[in-house]
Amino acid sequence: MPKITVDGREIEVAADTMLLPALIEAGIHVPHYCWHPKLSIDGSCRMCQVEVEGSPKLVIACNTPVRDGMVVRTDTPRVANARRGVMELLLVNHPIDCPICDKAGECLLQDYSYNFGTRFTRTEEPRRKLEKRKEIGPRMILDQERCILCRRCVRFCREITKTNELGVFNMGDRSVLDVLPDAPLANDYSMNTADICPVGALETKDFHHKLRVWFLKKTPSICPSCSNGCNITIQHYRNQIWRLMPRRNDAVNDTWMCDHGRLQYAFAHDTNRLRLPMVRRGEQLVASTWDDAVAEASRILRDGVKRSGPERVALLASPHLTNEELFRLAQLADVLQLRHVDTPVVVGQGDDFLIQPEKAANIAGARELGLVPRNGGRDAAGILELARQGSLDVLYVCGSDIARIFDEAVWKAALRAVPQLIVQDLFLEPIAAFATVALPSLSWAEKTGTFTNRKRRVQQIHRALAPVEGQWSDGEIFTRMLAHLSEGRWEFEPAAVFEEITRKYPAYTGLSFAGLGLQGKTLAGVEV
Amino acid sequence: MATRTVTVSRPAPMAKPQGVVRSGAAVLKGMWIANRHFWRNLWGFLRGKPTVFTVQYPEERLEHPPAFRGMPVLVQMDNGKERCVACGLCEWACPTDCITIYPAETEDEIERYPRVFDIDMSRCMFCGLCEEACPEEAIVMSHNVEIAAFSRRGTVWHKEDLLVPARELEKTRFRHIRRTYDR
Amino acid sequence: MADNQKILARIQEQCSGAVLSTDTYRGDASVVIRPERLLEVARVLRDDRELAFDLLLDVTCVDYLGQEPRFEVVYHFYSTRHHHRVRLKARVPESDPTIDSLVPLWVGANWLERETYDMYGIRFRGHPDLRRIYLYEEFEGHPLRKDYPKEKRQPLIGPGAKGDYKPRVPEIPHASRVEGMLGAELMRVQLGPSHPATHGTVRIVLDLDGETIVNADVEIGYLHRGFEKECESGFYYQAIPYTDRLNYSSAILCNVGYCLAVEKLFGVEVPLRGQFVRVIGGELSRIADHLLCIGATALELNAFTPFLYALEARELVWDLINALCGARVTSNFVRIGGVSADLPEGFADMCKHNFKRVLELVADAEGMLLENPIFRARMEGVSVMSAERLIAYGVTGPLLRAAGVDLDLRRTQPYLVYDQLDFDVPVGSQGDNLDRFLIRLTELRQSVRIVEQCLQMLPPGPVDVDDPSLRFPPKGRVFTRMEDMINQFKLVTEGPKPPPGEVYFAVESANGELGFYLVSDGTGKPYKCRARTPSFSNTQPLAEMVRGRLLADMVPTFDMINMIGGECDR
Repeated sequence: MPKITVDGREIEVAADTMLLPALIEAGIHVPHYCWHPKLSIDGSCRMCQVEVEGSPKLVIACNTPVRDGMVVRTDTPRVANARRGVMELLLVNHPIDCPICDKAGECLLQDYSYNFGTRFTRTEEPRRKLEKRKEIGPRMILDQERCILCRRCVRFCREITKTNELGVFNMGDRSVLDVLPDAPLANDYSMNTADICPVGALETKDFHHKLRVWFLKKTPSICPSCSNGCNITIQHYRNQIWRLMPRRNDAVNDTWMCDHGRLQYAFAHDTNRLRLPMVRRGEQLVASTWDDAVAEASRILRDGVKRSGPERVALLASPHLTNEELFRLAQLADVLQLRHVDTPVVVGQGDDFLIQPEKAANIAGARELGLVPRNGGRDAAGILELARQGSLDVLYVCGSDIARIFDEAVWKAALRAVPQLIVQDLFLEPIAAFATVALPSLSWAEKTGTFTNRKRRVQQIHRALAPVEGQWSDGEIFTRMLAHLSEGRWEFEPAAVFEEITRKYPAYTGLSFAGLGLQGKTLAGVEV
Repeated sequence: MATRTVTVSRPAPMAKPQGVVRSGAAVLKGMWIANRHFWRNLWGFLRGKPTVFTVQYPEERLEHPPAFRGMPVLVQMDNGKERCVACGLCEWACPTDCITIYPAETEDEIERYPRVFDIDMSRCMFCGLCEEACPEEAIVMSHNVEIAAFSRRGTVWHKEDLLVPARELEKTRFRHIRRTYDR
Repeated sequence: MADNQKILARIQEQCSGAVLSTDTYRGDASVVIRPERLLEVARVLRDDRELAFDLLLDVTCVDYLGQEPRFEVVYHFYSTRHHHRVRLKARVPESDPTIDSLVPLWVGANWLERETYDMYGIRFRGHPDLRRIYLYEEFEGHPLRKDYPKEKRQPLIGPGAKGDYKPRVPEIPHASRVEGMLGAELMRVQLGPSHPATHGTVRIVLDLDGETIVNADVEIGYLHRGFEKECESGFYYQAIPYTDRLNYSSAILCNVGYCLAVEKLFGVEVPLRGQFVRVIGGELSRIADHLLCIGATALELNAFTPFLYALEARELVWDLINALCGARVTSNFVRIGGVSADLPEGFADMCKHNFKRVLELVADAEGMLLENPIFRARMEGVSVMSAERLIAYGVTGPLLRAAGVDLDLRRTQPYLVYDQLDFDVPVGSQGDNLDRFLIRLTELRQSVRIVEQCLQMLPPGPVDVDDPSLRFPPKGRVFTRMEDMINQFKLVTEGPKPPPGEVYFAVESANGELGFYLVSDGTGKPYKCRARTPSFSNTQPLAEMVRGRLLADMVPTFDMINMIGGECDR
């Protein structure tokens, strides 16, 4: 591994890299705009200029390969002067939009100007006028005046999505970023351009004028929308999610996420969420206490199995539950000796990049942990058929995916025909309204646990929103049911339950909750 | 430096028991001083030019100096809209977190405005940091301090209540803060 | 600086093996010692003739959560003989946060260590009475620790709480004598917390033998608002309005002290005009504070008229402060790197006009009081405490100067432009209440003199430092220039970021040495913002001062200590 000296300190860097990523890896902060770890090298912004011994001029670190014995300086007056020069020219025509620009607080122009820039403007000329607030796609807005022409977005559309919507038109000082009128920025990953834009030129409509970023608290998690398991941060404030942004994971999603997943968060803090358990008295569902409702659900399950045998009791698990919760649910199924167990999942369109056809984050986890038909039991479609025929006495449904997989007529007929229906879901509609016992579920943003993605990578999710006071998590519900139905002390603490998983399933051996870290780990036997 | 340490000169010690003359002189001196004030004030009152320091509030009111910091208000432009673009700096600078702003988009040339702008006056300590942080001269400290309310909810002022036309503020607050614009 | 090197060298010489490291960051001599050698080192500091650190100013603690050992107990000392300072630090681990108490050497360490125990949970071995001082007994946890969230609620106690509430009989720890004259029982009464004479809520539990006070215990903390915790959770510039509320009678002095401490962290100095303006503001505040003290003393001795004269004079001073910064009491005048605004137009004339009347009123009030036999009988010879004892308590300011100790930071460690000004520092001869009263009268007149000199000597130029890393840019530029707009955004959203380090800076406030101990971790929020307030140390000797005296002497003594609740309780 080549060794280079930076500011008097010798560091070891990877071979065959450019200087800039090597410096960043070593924790040395070199300001840059146009370079991005996942895009090609542009060399247009000139902000990453550093001094390299032996070179008469300053070199751009993003396009200078490392060489063993290289001596680099980033703290000399020449470098500082160059940075000031670049900043001055970038700011000459930049509109004074900070008060109305969403990027304030995470804007590289602000950061670098404050830390490396000039103190005073030397020009008094009026600034150029271009199009502001231009809708360039169904989810994106462009402000041409703010653009500093780093071309990250152009390279993104060319290299990552290969859709080529954005381009720099005209030349020289008339250059302007734009789309062609008949080709809006509409690909499935368009909102990533707002992430990589160092300034507020590209903004998402979703976050436009919504909140100032310095209020946002950031919690690492995983996107719940499909089985790819893209790493994200949930950005929240006042117990509400304001946006989702991707997190870097080179093994899963690089630095990207799809637009669809990015927009699926409002349900987590919807005010119509079911928050109190309900039990049916006569024709109505009435609010109940947690202890009572869970006890009644346990009783229904126990009596159902005892009276009619496990043949007439079925369980439909949710692929949105965490591994820890699914583990407890599987234990519940074992205790009741159920055969008709399955995890229905919505299947839709996928693509060859990040979007997967199975639209749930933990379908792989559900299958790993045995929430599939046992001993010749029926699958989800079969379970609904049994129900419709009247062959089921008790049906426990977690989640409402069946309403999106099967026709309305099919699932409604099935649910109506079951005498005792336990539903555990986020909302009362559409499924829980039919229930005998309706138990509120927690959304992924309110839980700490793990998801397993389609490549059998186990990744952590963390609680970002607080549920209402006294609300039980799904894991706590299942655990309490187990306490009702079998002997022993049953607790639910995610890290401890994860440890139980590692002891039972060989593929999970050697893992620990804390050891997963922020990048997750793959299960044994997986080709990395 | 020309400072010196001086020992305070104490008045001559009082003898015990106190002589009648000495005590009497002290009492008379005190009465003389108090009376001087009384007669002067009475004379001023009779003349019609009161010299009494008391201000008969609320019938009489004092004029505040231009620097005076009363409650914060939003500047209203000539077209009736607020100058505020909901940048959020005042909300962030406020030490007591008494400002709540929810921004929203408009179709006008100024594309951002505060959909909700609430100031909880019971938390506001009239420090003026919001006015200092504002990059648009949109929130300034007025001279109004008469803001009592009958309920706790009544102490929260919403955007409509906070608007004051810029023309009015020209005479008062703007004069003071614009002095510092070209430091 | 040479002095610092000599101090550090001497300490290392005298306490070999105890010193782990020394530092002179920003000119503050600082020593880290082994915690088990604390008493020995402290004794050397006090008794060694070249060091002579007789004044223990402050005991506090810094919680370095995540580091082991976690807590750093910090002591600040001052020498009234050599006028130099030193900081002593010792680390104690979380598993056993115990360290020796300094009460055997300095009686004033009593309250300071109780406060450190209350806020951080440090146990002081050998402390005679280690109980909470600000917070109530049932309080759970130690709030200034970094893992104590600011919003944490405490269980309800008192009437209305679930469970049995029994009002407690007030205790006096280490009470002596339980029999009065003729074998009568002592009567325990409470002066306060709601009492017209204790302006500033405080509760003094007294054991009376007839009219004589046999035991007294002063309980403070009724105005404790969590100043330090609040400052730690906000940026440096957001702490300034909170410093107003420390000594609310002389708010600008508190602003000045804090901003000078932050500027010391940055290593910058405000331009000359700014320094003069700060002195003017500060001295006006001092006048207001002394006027209140004098007036309130008179009021509580039943002399209502001089009280009104003093208050009228204070109104005139407040008019000046109002014109200067926009508020009479909560001034928020000084900024990091300057002041909020330059002097208004016509200020010099206003001062001249108002001062004339102020001095007339003060002369009137003085004339009514000083010759009055009742006043003299209640103030002269009352509550004398020797200078040595006061120094052992950590007392500074007019209270200490009354005992004849010539200690005024404006003269011994001048800051701002005090070294260019001409003023007298009054000291007393007897150390009784009358001396304290006279000193305040004199200081008041000297402050008027200082303001007049400043107004004459005021140089033209800027009042603010033109440094984008700590002072907001001028608004005119923010509206029209890109760099200044960015500068404004960055300063407001991330705060001024001083380099990591720690400083202690003290100013002479109206009641004595007001010091700020700031620890910076490089971010825009202070890691620790400690206010060493004079009222806290000055109120400590109250119990001893009145022991053996009549109940009626409690009131003028308390007034002359001038305990400002906000400053004492933070």
